[in-house]
Amino acid sequence: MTRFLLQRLVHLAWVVLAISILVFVLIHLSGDPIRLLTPLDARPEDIERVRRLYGLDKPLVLQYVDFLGRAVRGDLGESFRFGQPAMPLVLQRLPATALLAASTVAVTIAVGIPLGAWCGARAGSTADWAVSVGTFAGISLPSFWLGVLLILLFADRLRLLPASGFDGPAHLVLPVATLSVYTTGLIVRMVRADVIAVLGQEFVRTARAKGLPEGAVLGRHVVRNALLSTVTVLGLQLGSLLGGSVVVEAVFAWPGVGWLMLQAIQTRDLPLVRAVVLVVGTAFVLINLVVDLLYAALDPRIRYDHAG
Amino acid sequence: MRTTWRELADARSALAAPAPVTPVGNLLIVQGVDAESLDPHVTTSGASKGMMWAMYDKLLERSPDMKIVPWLATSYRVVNDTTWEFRLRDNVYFHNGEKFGAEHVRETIARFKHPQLRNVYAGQLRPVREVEVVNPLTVRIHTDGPFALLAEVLSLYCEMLPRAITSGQVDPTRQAIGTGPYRFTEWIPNQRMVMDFAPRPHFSGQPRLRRLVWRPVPEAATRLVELKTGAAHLITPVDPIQIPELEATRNVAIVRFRQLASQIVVLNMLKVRAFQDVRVRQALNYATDVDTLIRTVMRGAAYRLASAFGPGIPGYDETLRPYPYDPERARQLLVEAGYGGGFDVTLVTPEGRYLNDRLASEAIAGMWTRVGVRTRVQVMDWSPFVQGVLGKTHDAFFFQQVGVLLDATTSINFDSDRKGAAWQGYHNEEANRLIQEAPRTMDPTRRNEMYRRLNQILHRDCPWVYLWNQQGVYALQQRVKGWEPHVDGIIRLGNISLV
Repeated sequence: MTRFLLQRLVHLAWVVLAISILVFVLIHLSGDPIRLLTPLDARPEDIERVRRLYGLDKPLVLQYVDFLGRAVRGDLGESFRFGQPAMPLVLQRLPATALLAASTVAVTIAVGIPLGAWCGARAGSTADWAVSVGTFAGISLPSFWLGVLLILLFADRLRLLPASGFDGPAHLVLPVATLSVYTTGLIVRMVRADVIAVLGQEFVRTARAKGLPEGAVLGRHVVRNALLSTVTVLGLQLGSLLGGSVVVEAVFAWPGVGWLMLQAIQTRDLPLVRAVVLVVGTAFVLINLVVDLLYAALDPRIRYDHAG
Repeated sequence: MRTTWRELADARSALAAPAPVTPVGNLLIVQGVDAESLDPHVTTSGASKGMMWAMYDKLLERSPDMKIVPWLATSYRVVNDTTWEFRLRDNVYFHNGEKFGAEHVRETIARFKHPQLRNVYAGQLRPVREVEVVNPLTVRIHTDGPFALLAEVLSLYCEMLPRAITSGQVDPTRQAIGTGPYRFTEWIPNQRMVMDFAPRPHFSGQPRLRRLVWRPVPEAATRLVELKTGAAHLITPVDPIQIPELEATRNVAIVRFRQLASQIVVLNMLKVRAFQDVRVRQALNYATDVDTLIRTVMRGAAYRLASAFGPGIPGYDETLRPYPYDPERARQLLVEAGYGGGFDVTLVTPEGRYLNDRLASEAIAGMWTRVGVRTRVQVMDWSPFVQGVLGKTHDAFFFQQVGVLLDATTSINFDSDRKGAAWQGYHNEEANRLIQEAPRTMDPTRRNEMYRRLNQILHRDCPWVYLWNQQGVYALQQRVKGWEPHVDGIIRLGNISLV
């Protein structure tokens, strides 16, 4: 187990290193950052002076070596826009995004798993069919459109909820609803398909033959066995939600990592873009690690002791 | 002019004796973007400047129609070609208690120009050689050579800072300390910036509000709902497509104004040989049915532009007429220029950067093609778009030239000696001479005459296809009183209040 963890942590370091190189190269491929940072009516001498102040006059390789040297000491440079260290800026935004992501996943689990199991158990019925149509719609609706629609309905027409901002639990409802429609749709479909597959297996027939009530069969045997792939998908969803639901955060003016990333890219705030990508990338890899560990907990047949 | 004090026309003569008012209410302002920084010398966007100018004052200010009005300086005079004298307002205090005076002007200008500060506008005050403190309320600014734009620059740049900031004791990216009507309370980036009224009454008679809360909301539809539900009192920008809905909303007022920025198509004469012929450039101006574009694409929310600069900018010539829509004349000019068989052009446009940029470009391409200039539209991301503008690699591009006619604006566009950022091969000796001479011409009447002449030359030579000034739109609750927009689109609160 320890060996497995160590191996995965070494992998993590490689992945983060690769991300850092990619983000460095890609952002420079898309144009001269200083010209996008400075207004067009700035004078050439001012632009060159500011370029030197930001260290953007050096060759790209030197810039990267410089960056790496400081990064290993936990210093990801100063945000151009805020004039403050980039890493704390990202970490300050992380709680807002984490709250959004965790709430969305909680809603998804609470609604998606029971609903999926329920549909799986009565596959082919009218109820199952209706839910399927609903989940298809949920997966297909663009979150931008859905977000604006919910604002128009619940904030403008009904005056029930605030349209945007970050000022208390009421502000959480609409963005979480927007995000959950997609993730819940996805999970319902996953769980339903898995439940149908598991229901056809021998041990379910055995459990029924033992005379277990149908609810217990479903709860104790079927759903637990059907959850493996669901956990994977939930982990991936959580990872991408932590990466900032860029569009949803922008629609609801939610002060999280996604909106920060959008601004950083728009203003070519390179240190900030790098910090966001590194933090989010690391979080993504860590979540995957947790998912792997959860496998073992859910399925006793999976063990990580034998190095393999 | 030389030795007389130039008492500035005071747009608000009541300024001198502020009536005692009790500040009431919290004003909620929602803009599309947040401030980039809390340091007023580092911020560049109009949205940030509005926030900064509630807390900080400059030596001079602008009235809503862009005339220079007294602010921290009550008057100024030109002593000689390289010396300006400014009289400063007495009894002005920074929010930390420092009394504003001549030393602050000297130290603030030194900071503004400091090479270690990431101020991309430092060059605006480059000609300033020395700031001489004559007495606590008088400064003389000495320049290298005549620098006629000093007052213009000081009315737009260089917010005055207390010694606490210029000495480095207080970090202005964390705390704002100005002389403005509102003092800094907190800034949580991407959530809100909060300001409370400064206890000492401001010289302009403000403030009437207890608190200001500025929030960024990037999505236009969301901003609109914030206004309708009362979670915002003032929102900007407003998309013209939202106007009918706002008009149908009770208790909401719409404020429109003609913006300074010129919306144009820039023709690259370095890349497209045909554009070197003035008749071809004129032909494209004749071929573009701007009135129809304004009526359809822009839904009426734009004002036709005759030449490079519209009203509000020094040198605007109201006698210049826009090129009429005349496709016959366009074809004829093309034939005269030897392009009767037409030619191929790619019109490059960003998408979503300017209002209806792509839509307008597609319509323009259709109009040009109809007279024989076969035009293809290429939509580009903002970043490669800018690289193409700077690298001068686009054939032609849909562009917005931000307006204030300071030396920088003209030299980046029209001066073939300096070949600035947005210059695309235009050459005219007289224009070059005017661009070089005007900023050194101390007499404002003569200087304005030179800019006028420049605008006339540009009208005839048309290095651009002239389109429109966009309509700036604010929407506010009718409870908001005493507020007027400035044509540069930057919010100055003035005597704003809530009833």
